[in-house]
Amino acid sequence: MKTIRLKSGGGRRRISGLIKRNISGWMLILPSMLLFVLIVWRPICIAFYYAFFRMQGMQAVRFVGLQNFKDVLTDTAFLQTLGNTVKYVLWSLLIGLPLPFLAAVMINEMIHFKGYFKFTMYLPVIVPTVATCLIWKMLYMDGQGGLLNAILYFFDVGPYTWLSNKNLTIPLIIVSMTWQGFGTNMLLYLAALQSTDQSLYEASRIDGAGFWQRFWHILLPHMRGIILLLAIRQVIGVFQVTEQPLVMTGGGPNGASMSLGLTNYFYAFQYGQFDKSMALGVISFLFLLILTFVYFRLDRKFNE
Amino acid sequence: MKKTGFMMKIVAIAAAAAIMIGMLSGCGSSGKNNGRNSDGKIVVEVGNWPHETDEATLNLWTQYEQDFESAHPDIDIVPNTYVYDVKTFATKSAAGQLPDIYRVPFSEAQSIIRRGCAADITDKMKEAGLLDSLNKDLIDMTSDENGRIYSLPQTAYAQGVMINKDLFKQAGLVNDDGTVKVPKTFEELAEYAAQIKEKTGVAGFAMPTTNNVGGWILLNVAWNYGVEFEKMNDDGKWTATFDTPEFHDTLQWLYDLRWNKGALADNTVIDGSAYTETFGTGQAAMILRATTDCNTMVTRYGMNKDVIAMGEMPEGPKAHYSQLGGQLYALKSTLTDEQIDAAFEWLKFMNVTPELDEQKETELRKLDFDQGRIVWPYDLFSIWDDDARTENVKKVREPFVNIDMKDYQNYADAEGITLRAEPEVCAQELYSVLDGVIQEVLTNKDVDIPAISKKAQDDFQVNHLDKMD
Repeated sequence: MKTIRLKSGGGRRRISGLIKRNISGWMLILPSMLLFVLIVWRPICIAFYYAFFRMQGMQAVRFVGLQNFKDVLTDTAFLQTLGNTVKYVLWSLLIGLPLPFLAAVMINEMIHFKGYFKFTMYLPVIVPTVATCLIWKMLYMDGQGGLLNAILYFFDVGPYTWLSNKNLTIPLIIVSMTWQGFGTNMLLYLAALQSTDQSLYEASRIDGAGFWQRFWHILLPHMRGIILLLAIRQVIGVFQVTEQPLVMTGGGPNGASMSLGLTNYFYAFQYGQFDKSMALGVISFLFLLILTFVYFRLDRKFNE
Repeated sequence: MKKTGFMMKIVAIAAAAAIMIGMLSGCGSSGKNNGRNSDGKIVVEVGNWPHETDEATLNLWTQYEQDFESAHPDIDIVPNTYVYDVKTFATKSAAGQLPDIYRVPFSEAQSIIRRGCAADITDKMKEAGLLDSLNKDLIDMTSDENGRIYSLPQTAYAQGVMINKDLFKQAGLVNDDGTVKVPKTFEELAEYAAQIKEKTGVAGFAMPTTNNVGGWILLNVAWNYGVEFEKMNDDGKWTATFDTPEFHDTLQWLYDLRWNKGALADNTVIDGSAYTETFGTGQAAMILRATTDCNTMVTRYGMNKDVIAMGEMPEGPKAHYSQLGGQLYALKSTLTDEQIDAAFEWLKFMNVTPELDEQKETELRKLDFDQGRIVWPYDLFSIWDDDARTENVKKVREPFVNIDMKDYQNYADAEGITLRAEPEVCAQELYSVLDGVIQEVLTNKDVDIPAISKKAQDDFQVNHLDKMD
């Protein structure tokens, strides 16, 4: 006990010494720390707490234990929604992960117009998400009014159904998300590509290695870390998909594009069932916590 | 160096303090204290205030605000442009951020009582003499089980068929007197829709599918096919009751419109705005809607008002119902007694009185007329049970009426129609389930109607009715 007290006292002294030494730095980060606690941690903690209560409006009126979680998990649409969310993630890995990588490899190989392509590919990132959704919604619209169908009509093909086709709706939404997020991922890949040991690269060129050989034997092993990190980041991001199905399909047709995030939104903002919304938020949070943990472990491993 | 370090600390502390003050000032209160502002005036925040894009209406309301405040120097009217939206209302009400006087559709009449966000205005209604002159059925809708009243009607309407006269004429659907043929049954509506599609290439009918609007509109059709959606059992619990042959017939009607007659709009992802837009931009000849939306077609989509006609809700094989709708005024439950008194003074000033304020009615209708909005000779569904008031309204409006009433007579007569309110419990949840059913029917040619009907009923029962407190 004595030792522990001494240690603890020493620790306190060390901490207070650290604060005193860097008082200006601490004072400067204090507002953002407070803001972070108020805006990020406080709502998370409140959501955890309220998830165990029946709520009237935003007031917790009665402790109900795990009832809200039971209500959410026994909802007949829950499994379909969870399945859809996983589908979003898988399609995003299939479409959203390799395309920016390939674009980055192509730009890396380019000698001219590198800046132009980087700029144009990054441009969609600055378009607000809702605007992107509306653009793609118009593109995918059924009938001859839809832009895609209008183009096909020009070639005497179609018209086809797009977002209202149950089997296509999630991949099509992912295509729009990939278009918007393409630039960021491409730049991250490009940065990693440009940090490749150029002497190794040049040597392989002199030794007569073609593009694909350089790709498989030099680039890919070097890029494994960043690809894995971006994959995890993408899984975390896409797992929360909400605005895209909300704007483009409303979760339809018949729940085919409903995600956990959108269900959460509907609980809170369509039905005013904040208790269920909190419970579903906690469930999603736990999923994401595990994924984030994996991300940080991988991040540390690759940075080492 | 030491001096520089000290100065740096001072600057850092000052910067931190400035940022903190900035942050904390954002958390300040609105300045209201027990319903009074810093000048000691009673504050009443009035919602649905005209937006600055509608300059003429805003100017008139600003003038009203000044006139009212001159007549009531102890009251401060605070404009608030909040307009009810299903996406924001739950959050706004839960967070106590509604204006002091706000408007909601009839569908929220009971939910605002359950949520505790509306003040009990029974005594004020009696005092103002409104209980004797407002429609009794409407008053019942705004009351709780003890007969206490929490909102008062502003407008009322019945759902009907909105018609694009040009498209009807192109399809030859015209009577001898030049008026368009209003469909009398849902079968007739489907036939007309197919004929219009065939003759003009434009969709004869549009059906909304998302954001709960699809379910809300389908309700009208289903009721007329004999469907009852929910019933309360003896033990007070609710049971979903719509998986019946009548509901299958309703869905079959919709299926035929889509797949056999090809009469619907191509787009199958249609929310409330897209629904009105489809009609307002001439992409569909008929939709199920009320007269309140006619002006949306004119002002938002630039539709010629003379192209619009309205017919009553068609009759179904089992019944002839139409959904009753409208707007209600409600007062925030946290208002003080003197704020409630002040709010009623404002409502009285704005013509919510048993006796018509002729000057205000003239000014408001003249504004509508000048802005190119439709002015009907009288309210086609009035909230007032007072024939003398209606006659007075007709007299005042006469110079401003800018439509041919023949285009609305069928709707206004509403012969044989029984008005019905929306389902009593879990209405929005029901609409959401029905949205899914509609989407399945419209996107899946091989749909198994009895199977989706059963699944929808089970989902509604398990996910919503069984989980009610």
